[in-house]
Amino acid sequence: MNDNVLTYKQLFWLFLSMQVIMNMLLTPSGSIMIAQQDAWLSALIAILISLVTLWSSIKVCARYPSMDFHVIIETIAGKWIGRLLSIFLLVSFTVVLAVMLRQYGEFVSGTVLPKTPISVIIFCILVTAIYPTFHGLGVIGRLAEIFGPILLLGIISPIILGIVNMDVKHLLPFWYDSGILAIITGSLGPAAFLTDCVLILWIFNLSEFHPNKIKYLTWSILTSGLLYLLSVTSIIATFGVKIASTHLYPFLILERYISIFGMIENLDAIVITVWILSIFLKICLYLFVTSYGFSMYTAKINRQKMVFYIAGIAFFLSLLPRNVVDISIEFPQVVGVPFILPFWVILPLFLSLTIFIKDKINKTQ
Amino acid sequence: MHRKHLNSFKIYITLILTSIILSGCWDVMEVNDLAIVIATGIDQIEEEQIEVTFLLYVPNPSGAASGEVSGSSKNSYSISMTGDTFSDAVMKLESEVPREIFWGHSNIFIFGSELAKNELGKQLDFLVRTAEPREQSQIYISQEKAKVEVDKFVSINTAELFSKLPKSRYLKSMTLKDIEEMLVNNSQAGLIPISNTNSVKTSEDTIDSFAVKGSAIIYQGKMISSISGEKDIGSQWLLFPKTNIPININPDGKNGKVSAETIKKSIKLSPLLEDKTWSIKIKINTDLLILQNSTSLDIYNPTVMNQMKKEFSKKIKADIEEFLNHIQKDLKADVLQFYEAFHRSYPKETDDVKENWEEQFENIKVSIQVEVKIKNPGVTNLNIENK
Repeated sequence: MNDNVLTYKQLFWLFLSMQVIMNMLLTPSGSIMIAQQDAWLSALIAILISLVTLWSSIKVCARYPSMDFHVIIETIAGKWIGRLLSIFLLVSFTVVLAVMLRQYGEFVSGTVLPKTPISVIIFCILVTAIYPTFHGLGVIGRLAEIFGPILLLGIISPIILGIVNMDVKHLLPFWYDSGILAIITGSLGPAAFLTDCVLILWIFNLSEFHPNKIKYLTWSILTSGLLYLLSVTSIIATFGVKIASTHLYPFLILERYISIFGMIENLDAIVITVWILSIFLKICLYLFVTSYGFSMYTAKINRQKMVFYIAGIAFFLSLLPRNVVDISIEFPQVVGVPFILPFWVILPLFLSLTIFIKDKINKTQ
Repeated sequence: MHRKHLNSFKIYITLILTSIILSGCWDVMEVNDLAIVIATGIDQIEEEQIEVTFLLYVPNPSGAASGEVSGSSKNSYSISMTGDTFSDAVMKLESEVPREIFWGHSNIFIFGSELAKNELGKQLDFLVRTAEPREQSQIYISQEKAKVEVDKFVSINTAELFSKLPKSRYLKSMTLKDIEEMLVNNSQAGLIPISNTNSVKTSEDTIDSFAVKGSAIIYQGKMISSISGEKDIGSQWLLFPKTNIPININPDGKNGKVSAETIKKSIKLSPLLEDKTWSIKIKINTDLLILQNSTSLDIYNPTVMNQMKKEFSKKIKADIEEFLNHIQKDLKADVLQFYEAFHRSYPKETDDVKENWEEQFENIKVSIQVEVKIKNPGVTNLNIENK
């Protein structure tokens, strides 16, 4: 069985639910540390960056709606440059996949399973993720359609229950402590997570044709960005800048701090389970795109076999970092923000610009 | 036929494999193997030596089944460990007790006053850094040694008591998060309630129960002073918005007292910086419930009611002023976080005085405005003494 077709609704849920949790868990503290109480402005900028990326990616794909990305990029950028860029993109996806696996391992081991070796935690989710990926994108899409609404509930309900602990005065003074430079720098972390909508380059032609497709896609990225904005704001309003910026997972602490009449407490055990669904979808989608993409460049191995190879490589890579500091602080600073983020933003922009110019030239001729 | 066998074989394999995941990997925990920490007392016994006393609850279902007296008192134990640091003592306990230590229900941490005076901040770090203790845990500083206090709780049903502390409308409580927030702010000052014990008589013997008496002022990670009695009432008005406070007044020229209790109160700080004069306005709104009237006054009468309101606000203002004077002039500890309040409205000016805030804090003019509403003068206006 190999069904790779997505409906436009599945596309919406897939992108929304795969982006939202990792971003909320991992980026707020860094962003708050840089932009202080104005981190919510950073979130707005991050949304803007991701929407630009999405828009240019869609422009590229919509120009050649039935072609695979490796064909598109070779048509636009020429055979060798196109091939090189596309492989670079796939390699960046693989690296990010490995980083995500490790982040997930550190998160689970740091919060619920402290004694379990990280390799075992990663192995378990990877084996589970291989199954739907092996059977195709359609399976992942249907999973997203089921998990998506549950995830939304798992994000919004803790924020609503936590309203009593919030105090908007923590958001003041406005602008003075940060400044425009700090706000933009603070937006890079969340932007790196939100711009992984470039994945659409590889799967756009795999989803059904529908007039609402682009609208739904934009809404999914926008919703995921706005949920991030909401979570950052509530984190600052609950804890203030100093505490929020020093915790590794401030959104989790927000969760644990909820106590309604002493009855509704310790929600984290339930919510972490829900959050893992999102991380699972993210791993599946990355695994699918990398295996699908790489299989186009190998003559004999088909996509399904490729899933195992990529999973193996990602598993191996994910075990390389030494500790949580390497993966959560060093990686974003040394590789993520200076290389991967600009590459993801500039590549679709460059491609769409080339298309625009080529079409202009063709028209005048 | 062959296919059918293969299918059921697949199902069996899947079931066996999932059962491995169900066990919770390396972190499997059986309730019967746990020792649940209910309360923790931390003392300094000598230079660089920390003694930690744990109140443990050991679940023992077989005890209840065999007809013994079940209940917490039979299952509660206290045990002390010494170590170089708080965490060192905790690790030692884990290596000596045959059961798994479980922190999920740990609601209260009591620091000995000796330790609080020397290195409270250093030992608090353990609670903040590890994921196990919750941010909602209550922090107290004990009047005597924390060990003595925790040992006394073995005989009472403390798990129940401590879990309800934060909901109490009378006992002051501060969460770990509140204290963390106060101490990392620029003012570096905070206030932690002081715990103590009360003797309670039962039909068989005397036992000791938990009590809260007074507050400790923390500055730069160390306890610098403790206040109790009249002086401490102001802290309840300013820092504990959820507790109810009793107020007694002697109305002018009348023989007797009127007692009331707050049902609701709110506090608002509005800082003002004009011509280099730093001033802050504290506005308090409160609703009162009259509990007792031993004067001849007719409280139902609107003019008397207005007079009462004035008397009450005068009393409240005096209480708050006493507390404020003490922390501002004597201790110079910004426990009310005036710095943060000013920083929100005047970020530039506060940054300039950041380094010598202690000096600036002392010179802030504070004006207090109290608005009292008598929500309930009592269900009857009967005056027993005066006919």
